[in-house]
Amino acid sequence: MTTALCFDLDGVLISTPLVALVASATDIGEEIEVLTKATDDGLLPFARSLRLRCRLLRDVTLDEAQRRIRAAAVNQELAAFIATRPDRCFAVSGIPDVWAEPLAERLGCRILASAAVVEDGRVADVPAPLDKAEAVAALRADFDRIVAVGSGSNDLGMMEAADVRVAFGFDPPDPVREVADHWTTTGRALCQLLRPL
Amino acid sequence: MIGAAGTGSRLGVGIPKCLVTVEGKSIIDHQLDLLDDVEDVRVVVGFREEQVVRHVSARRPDAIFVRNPDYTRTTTLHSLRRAAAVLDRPFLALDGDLLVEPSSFRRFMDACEAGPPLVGICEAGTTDAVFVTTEADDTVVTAFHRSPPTAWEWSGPAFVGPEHLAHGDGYVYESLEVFLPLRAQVVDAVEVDTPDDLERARPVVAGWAR
Repeated sequence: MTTALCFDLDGVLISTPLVALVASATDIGEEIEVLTKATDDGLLPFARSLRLRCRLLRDVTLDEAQRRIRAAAVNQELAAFIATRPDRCFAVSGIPDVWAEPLAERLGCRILASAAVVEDGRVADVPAPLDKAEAVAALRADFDRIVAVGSGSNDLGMMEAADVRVAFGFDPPDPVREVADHWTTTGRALCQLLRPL
Repeated sequence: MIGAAGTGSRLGVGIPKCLVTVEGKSIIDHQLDLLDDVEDVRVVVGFREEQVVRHVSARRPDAIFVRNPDYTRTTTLHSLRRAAAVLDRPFLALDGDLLVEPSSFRRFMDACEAGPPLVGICEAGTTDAVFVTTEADDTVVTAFHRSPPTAWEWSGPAFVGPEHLAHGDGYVYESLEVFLPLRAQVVDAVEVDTPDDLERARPVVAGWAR
């Protein structure tokens, strides 16, 4: 049996929200944070919120966004785990794919992210933000079993589309916890759980 | 694999039974003491799962939690099946309401090996016990039963693989019956189901500490 291991990118593999890292290059970081919180609280649909926030951040050059994202701290235990089975690990995120590129190099696995429209060296738009559930379901063409590890409310669809659902972190949102089969609070525990899968 | 999903309603304390204090620490802390050298510790959680996860994570950040949201309608058999679904090897199962004397637990762990299941039996004394009939100086269990009472009961410790949990839809011992006779190892243990059990357990555990 072949198994795909899908990780929420910011929340599981990285603890800092990546959009916030890019927003820190601007003077609207707090406004972006308010939008992110409103989205987590269910006031805005994830896809529309992501598109809105990316458009608000379209003055940030691709180089600058990548520089900030490259500096994000990656969970070292999980990165080492992925390095031993890169072909069946996937980092899943709604952020523009071009922003995530430096992390694909660091993690050594594929990143499933939103297709971005780039103009003048900047992300101008993400017209169709990644549907995490669809992205994970598409892996069924190549894998018999899908494991999804989520930490935020926007991971719910991805987890529902998976065969084995894992909630990650000390305080995952109730919906994430409630759909999960397993719950791990640390990278070490998560590696232990995923190793035989 | 510690099964700690149930409500423990017969004890009537309103907190998960595994968090009830016996001789200065919770039952699950007594168990985690026994498992200090065990690399892979998993706890099945259900009733007040966040409280159990917080408690166990503080002590064992590497613990894995298996969720059984159907804990009010299911038995330990279902909890262990959920846990076994992602395991590729046999494991030691322990109910979250069992206090085990450390040296006898060590002997039980030493006897765990792949193959037919191993069950840990203890002197009967619990309310509503699952009694066992034994042979060969109590090293073999030939039957599980609610009656008639015998000198020994089985209160959960077992070294089993996923295949041993696949039978029936009731209790763990009913699934294990398919594999009788089973290897047995005596453990010195007390189970806490009721207030009377808890009273009985306190001096016993205090005696172990001495």
